[in-house]
Amino acid sequence: MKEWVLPIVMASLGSLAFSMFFGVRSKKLIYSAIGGAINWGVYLVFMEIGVMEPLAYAIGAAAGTLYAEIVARIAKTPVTVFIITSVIPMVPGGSLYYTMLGLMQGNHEVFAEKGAYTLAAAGAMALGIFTATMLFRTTLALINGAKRIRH
Amino acid sequence: MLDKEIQNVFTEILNIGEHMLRAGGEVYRVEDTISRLICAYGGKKPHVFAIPSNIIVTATFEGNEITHTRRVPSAEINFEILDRMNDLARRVCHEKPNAGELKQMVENALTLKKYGHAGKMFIYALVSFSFAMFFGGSFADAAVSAVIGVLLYPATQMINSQRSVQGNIIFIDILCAAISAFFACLAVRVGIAHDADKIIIGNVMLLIPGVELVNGMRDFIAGDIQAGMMHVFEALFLAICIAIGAAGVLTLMGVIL
Repeated sequence: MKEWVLPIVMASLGSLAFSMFFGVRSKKLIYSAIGGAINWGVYLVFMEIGVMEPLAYAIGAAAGTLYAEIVARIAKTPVTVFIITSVIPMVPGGSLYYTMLGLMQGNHEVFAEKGAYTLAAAGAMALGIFTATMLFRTTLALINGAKRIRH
Repeated sequence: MLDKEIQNVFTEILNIGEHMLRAGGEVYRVEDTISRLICAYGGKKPHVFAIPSNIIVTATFEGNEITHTRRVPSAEINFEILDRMNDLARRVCHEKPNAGELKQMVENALTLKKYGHAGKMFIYALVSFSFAMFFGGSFADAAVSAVIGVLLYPATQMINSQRSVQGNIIFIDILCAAISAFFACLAVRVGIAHDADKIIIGNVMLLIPGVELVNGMRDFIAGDIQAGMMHVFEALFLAICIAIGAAGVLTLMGVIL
């Protein structure tokens, strides 16, 4: 449990810092920080119960996106603001760096391994965002449709 | 011939779209907003096409067709402006102010409090610190990364003030990655920090094109394949630039060898 605290806090702080980086002020900063924590927390939970890593990545990104879609409607802010700041800990910056380092070193084993990991992570992240957006919007449309029929 | 009023309103509508696109708005949002605004002002058949660098709008006002094109300069992500423009567009659709008022409203939305130099330096430090630690660095690594982050802000400002390379993000990324790698190696040599890679990763997160990558993916979802390809390719290209800057210096410093 204890080893989870630091990554989640740092993911949250990173999301907060990034939304400041993109000029966000006011209480929206706190929404972003919570988004980062949810994103990485869900990822860690699914890693713990033994899900494959890319799938855990996708589920984490989906959780972050779902949260962003809800918060965007509460804060009346374009959803992209919260999706990007929530999902930023998932952007495979670390493995991308090692991939390129491997290439420059001429270490093709590292390049291939880290490169495949980076691609899988970025793809899984995209898949998670995609699925969550589609599910959320479809559900919302269905609910709105049901309301219209009742009235 | 169309009257001046409609011409002016049309120009302001495009301004709103341009600001949204530059501030980091998705292509579908920009297209949708412009269409709604045109319809609110009584325009018929709005045809809007946007990619990250260009907006083309054609609409019919009182039987006259009108077309505007806008070259959009490279993005300057600011979510506060995006949020304000989004709000503004929603309000304008209800209130339908005249051209003069609309111009004033757009200008008001653009005058916002930005973080000052000290604030920006703090943000650079905070991003570097949290991601250096997030990717497994020790506290010392993260602290060194934060200090380098503070140095990177004046570096980007200096490059931006040079007329010949103004706003050239490729140049900025290569140079910042190189500076970061240089000082990270130095810190490890001196013995303050332990892991140069973690320090550099913290700084690299400042440069990484996260908005382009995520927005590109979301463009694909929305069906804007062209815009998506432009965004994702830009992200990939910048990532390569960052890697060249960092890895080049690392090789020279002999850490790799």
